Amino acid sequence: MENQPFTVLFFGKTGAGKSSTLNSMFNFNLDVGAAVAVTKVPKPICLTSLDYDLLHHKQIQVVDIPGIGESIEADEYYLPFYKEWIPKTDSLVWVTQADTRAYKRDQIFLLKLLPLFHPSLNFTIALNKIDYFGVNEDEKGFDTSSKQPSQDQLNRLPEKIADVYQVFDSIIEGKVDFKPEQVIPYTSFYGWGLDALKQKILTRR
Amino acid sequence: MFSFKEKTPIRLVIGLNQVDKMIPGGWNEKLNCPTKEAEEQLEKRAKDIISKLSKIAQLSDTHIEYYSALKRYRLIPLLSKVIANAYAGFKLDHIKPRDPFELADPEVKAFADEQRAKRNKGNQQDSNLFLEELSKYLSPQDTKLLQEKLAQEKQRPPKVAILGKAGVGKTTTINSVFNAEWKTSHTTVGTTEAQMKEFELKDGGGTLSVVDLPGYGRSLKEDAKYDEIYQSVIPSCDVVLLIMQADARDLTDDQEMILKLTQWLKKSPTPQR
Repeated sequence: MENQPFTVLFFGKTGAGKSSTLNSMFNFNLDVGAAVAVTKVPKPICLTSLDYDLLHHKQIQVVDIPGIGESIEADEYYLPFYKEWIPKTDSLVWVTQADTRAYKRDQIFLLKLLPLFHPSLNFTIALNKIDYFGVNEDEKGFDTSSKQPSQDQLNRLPEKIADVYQVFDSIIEGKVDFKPEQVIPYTSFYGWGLDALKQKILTRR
Repeated sequence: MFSFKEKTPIRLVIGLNQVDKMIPGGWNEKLNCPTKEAEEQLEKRAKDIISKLSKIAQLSDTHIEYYSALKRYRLIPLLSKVIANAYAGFKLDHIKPRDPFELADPEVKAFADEQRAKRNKGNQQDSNLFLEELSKYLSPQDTKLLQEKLAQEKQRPPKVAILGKAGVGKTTTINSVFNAEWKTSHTTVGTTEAQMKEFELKDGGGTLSVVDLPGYGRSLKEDAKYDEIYQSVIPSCDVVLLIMQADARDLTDDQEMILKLTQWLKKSPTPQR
């Protein structure tokens, strides 16, 4: 095990912030674009474990895989990439965004990809864009100066996590180990929650 | 699986909401508008959406507008596109669509104009007199039909369906765009979760019905039951406003909805009520 590279695969809806998460987490310099999807081919990137003493593995490879949901045609086109990479994956990071209530596309892809999951897969839901989460006119939003969620956002967060957990768990149905603690809220832009996410995907803790 | 070649004109507007969240730091709070950088991204985004959707439906840049319901940004341009893409009978405030009676006989047109003028003043007294005049030119059946048409026009206010994925801001949009007093309390359409709301328009513009449809794309289970609601409401609408979220790039759910919408609207080229 120790000589094998530890493969972390980043997957999720287009625009959810996979590339920007990788950039913030590992100091990568991947192209990110707000308007148009930019990740076109899977990018395995190797890291040395020197910076990650949390891990026993000598090498970590991180794969940024094209986003799902870009369009009906694109979804079909990218399927072979997922089929190639998921069986080799140790830790699957499913990036999705907190500022939506629409997770059907995640469910559809999870249904398609679930047969490729092996039982020991470390599966994490990376719930990005917490900075945009739950802002009503009468509520306080993310505090951009302290880079912390507001109390209003924090109050609503447990309910949000429970909801997202339920959406995924209803599809997973015990195929891999999955608990609410595997839904990690964070913001790739401001960095809040990023360390917790990194620890979860590399160590399961 | 899907037919991409078939192109059908469609009474649909895409509203690209939440432009204040397009990019982090992309909103100028002081001026309440996007930064220049965000605005450039928005224009690119709108073009990208239309180029993808134009493959499945006859949509162009006249069918899309970006705005923020929460920030009340670009609501008028959005409303203009809604009106421009609505069925010809759609009337709103001072906007005057082409008059269906213009294609009728001059006498009929004159009668319609007279009736409308009276309706606006709330004065119906002389209508019988004029109808007598008109009956010289029209058969009794035609006179009756004409009266019915005018009554219909009065009774059936323009109707807008608001559609979009769960959480894109449909209700916020309704509250911001159709800033008006509630005329009636929430009415449930059938046994569904669709809510019909009626607004009284300014300057005798009549009423406007807005149907707030349940959001799709939340889960497989929920979507399965919504199609029936959509199909029962959408053919009766003068225009459908489909709302998307500016910072969410996943388009598949919306593409699938537009494919279905195209089919439903094609079956009812005029609003069926």
